Amino acid sequence: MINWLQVLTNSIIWGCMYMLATVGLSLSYGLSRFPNFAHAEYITFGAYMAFLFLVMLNLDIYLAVGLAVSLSAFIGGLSYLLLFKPLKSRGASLVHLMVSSIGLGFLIRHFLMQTFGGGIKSFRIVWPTISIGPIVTTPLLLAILIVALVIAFMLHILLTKTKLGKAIRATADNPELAAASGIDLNKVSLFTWSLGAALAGFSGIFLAMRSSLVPLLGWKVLLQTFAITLLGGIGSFYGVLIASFILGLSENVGVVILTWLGLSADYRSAIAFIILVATLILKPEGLMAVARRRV
Amino acid sequence: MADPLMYLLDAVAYAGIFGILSISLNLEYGYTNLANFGKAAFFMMGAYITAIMSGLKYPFIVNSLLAILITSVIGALTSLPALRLKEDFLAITMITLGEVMKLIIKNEEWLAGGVWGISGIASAITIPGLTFRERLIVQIALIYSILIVCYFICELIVKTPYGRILKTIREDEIVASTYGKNVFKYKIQVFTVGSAMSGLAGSLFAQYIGTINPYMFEPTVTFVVWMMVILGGPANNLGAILGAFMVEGIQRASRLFKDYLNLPLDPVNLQVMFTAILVITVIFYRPQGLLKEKIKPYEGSPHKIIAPKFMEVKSWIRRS
Amino acid sequence: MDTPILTAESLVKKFGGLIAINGVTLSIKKGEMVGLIGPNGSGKTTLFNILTGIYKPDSGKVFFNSERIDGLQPHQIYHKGLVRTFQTPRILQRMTVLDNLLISVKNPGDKFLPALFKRRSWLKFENDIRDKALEILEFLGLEKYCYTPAAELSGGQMKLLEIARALISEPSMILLDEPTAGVNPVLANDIYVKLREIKENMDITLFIVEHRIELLMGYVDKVHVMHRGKIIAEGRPDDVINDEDVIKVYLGYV
Ligand SMILES: Nc1ncnc2c1ncn2[C@@H]1O[C@H](COP(=O)(O)OP(=O)(O)O)[C@@H](O)[C@H]1O
Ligand SMILES: [Mg+2]
Repeated sequence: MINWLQVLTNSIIWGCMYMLATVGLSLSYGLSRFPNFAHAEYITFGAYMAFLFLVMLNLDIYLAVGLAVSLSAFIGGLSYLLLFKPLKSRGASLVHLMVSSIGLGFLIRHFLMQTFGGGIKSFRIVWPTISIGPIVTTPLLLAILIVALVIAFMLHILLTKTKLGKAIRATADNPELAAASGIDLNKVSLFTWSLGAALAGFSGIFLAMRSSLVPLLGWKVLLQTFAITLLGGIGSFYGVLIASFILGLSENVGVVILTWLGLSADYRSAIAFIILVATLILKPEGLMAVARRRV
Repeated sequence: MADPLMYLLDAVAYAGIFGILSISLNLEYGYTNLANFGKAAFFMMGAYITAIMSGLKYPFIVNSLLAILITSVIGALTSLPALRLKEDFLAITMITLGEVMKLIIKNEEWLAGGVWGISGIASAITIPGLTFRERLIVQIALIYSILIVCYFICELIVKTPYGRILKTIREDEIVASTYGKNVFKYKIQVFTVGSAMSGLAGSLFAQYIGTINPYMFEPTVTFVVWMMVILGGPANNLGAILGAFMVEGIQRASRLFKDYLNLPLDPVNLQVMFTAILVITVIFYRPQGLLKEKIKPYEGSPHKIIAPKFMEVKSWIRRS
Repeated sequence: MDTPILTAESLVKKFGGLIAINGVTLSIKKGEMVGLIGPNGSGKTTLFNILTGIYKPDSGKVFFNSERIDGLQPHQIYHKGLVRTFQTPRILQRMTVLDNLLISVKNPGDKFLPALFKRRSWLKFENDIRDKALEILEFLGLEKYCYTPAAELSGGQMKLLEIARALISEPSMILLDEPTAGVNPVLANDIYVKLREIKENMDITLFIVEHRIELLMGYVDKVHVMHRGKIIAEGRPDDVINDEDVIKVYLGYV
């Protein structure tokens, strides 16, 4: 007997995790017009930093998470300032930007492996289980849910109500026009890249706490983050929101089907691939197209 | 490895195999601007097909032809949805395809040995009574003859009107299609040829090292091939091969360097970080690579300017 | 002489909320040299993009030689004999000027297998076509540059190269998008002399977007005026220049 309420809960929680992991990728893609393959490593980076502060230095959990998230933001901002901004101003091609982002990703990942070792690490926190009716969950998963919802709400306010947020949306829509109307592209980009990396780092902490910390933590959700970005429509926050939950749901229902078919549950990430390819075939501009592509 | 000469020969063999990957990427990216970030996937496919077929006691020639066939078909099919769109979509599709391929191979133990991989792959040429070193030399001869064939095929392709269209697509797809070229068709063809070559390289790799497992085909492989093309010089086939030699050399040297200085670094981490920094530096300071593309008429020479022709009546212009 | 070569019927094209083309109907006769003028952003380039298949119209039809061509891919439209040039030159930077021309010709070596295995046939073709290319380059004064990388040309030369590239495929009609944009006045005049010559001697219909209205008026047989995605006037140059609507549009903008 399958507990569908449980499947639904898991879907929502995964949706939250994916949302945090992807928002930055989609926004920076929309703003800077190239897919940042190093984004996956911001996820890993946040998790390792949390591990450093929490487990190795024994700091208070809120302080540790705060520091880890700020450092992720710092890395995100730094990669824009030191790598992508100068490359763009030199007129680097799309392919060169993509290759550099892959290079940056490897650099971050192997730096972490060198510093912390390549083995599996654990936060050594045992979460008690909580039962709410037929649903079994843990405080961590509830925390993910609450944090993600609060962040989503704050992003919504940021993007619709503040000047900065409107500038982000205007730039994602049409960079030339935005620049012409006096928006400081660098400031907006720097903010978006930092914010995106911070959220990615946050999601990394959750991902690692839920199971374990490995150097491939972020890379393992690369497929999912790109599927969500394309399905949602590049540069669209609301697209990410919707697509994250679609993917969370398809994966969790997919796992049920996979077990029923007697296949390995590892194939859940293939579901993201199917969604990605289907998006490219059926609706390449995504559910909520923002970034306009010109001939 | 104890024997320094063996270490060198091994490096030469690797450079040859990666040289094939490098010129295949050069055909796709250097000439056609197709960003194929799935090199590792096709390389892996070729290697696994060869390994599985070798387990069934088929000879190398059959295995490699099958590898070429299957990789080219899969390459064409998976690139279809992305090729109509911009190059970033192809990049995303291919990089994720590599992950899915690995997933399948890790999970289907009955087919491909799961995470343990496949061992005991027969080498292509077995001559009884050779020493280990002599066998290595035979391998190198095989690998390099295939590399040379691939090189000439690519050179031939790009120096025809067909190749001129590929360059047109690279420079400006809109121009290519407004001037009557079915861009989509050309891209599929190039992608198919590139995938086939990668499959062949994988096939050579499998029979060369004898044992393969999924961890040999991490995305770093793709990245290393990109490094070779970007360093050597896109749209220059000799440059691509030169790049393969340099990157292989740099990787081996960094390893030796680490051993020599006793650096407290993991050799793999060192290699990857070093390659990454090098790629970024090259993109910053010499985006056209070491050997630049030669912009010249691809047949006939500039010296043979057709001077007398200019003097003739402009028959075509003047016709009424 | 009076048969229409290109006909557009109530074309509409929207970009999001913006209606770039709002019901354009026009007809161009074989052998004519026709101008298209209108303020910036009035939809001239978008119209060309629709006619050549780069954009699909949201509604409306396009006929070329009585054949329906909307919905065809750009490369299919090319093979019907309709080619174009671009407002900002789209030249192939890392290729020689000669190669920039030669790509526009249908060549037996364009296909994968013949390119590799029927070298003789395309080499011969290539020889003949190269002579023709050189003639065209000479006609436009570019022959000196035939082996230079196209990136090294000046802006005006790039414009000429665009025209040369359109000519060599022997089309029945060329759409020229601002052939004199960014070109000095002397060369601009030369370009029109050449265009007129092309029209007279080579039997090619020309449809020209131009912002140098006075220059254009001296050469074309007929003008269409576009404003906010609509054709607001058409007729002989003298009539159009005195049209009240046209004067209003231009006074408001220029
Ligand atoms: N790809 C596009 N996406 C969105 N808007 C476009 C696009 N192409 C053109 N436009 C808009 O359509 C209108 C007409 O542009 P265009 O045809 O280039 O005008 P013209 O060539 O007459 O100056 C302009 O407002 C322009 O901004
Ligand atoms: Mg225009």
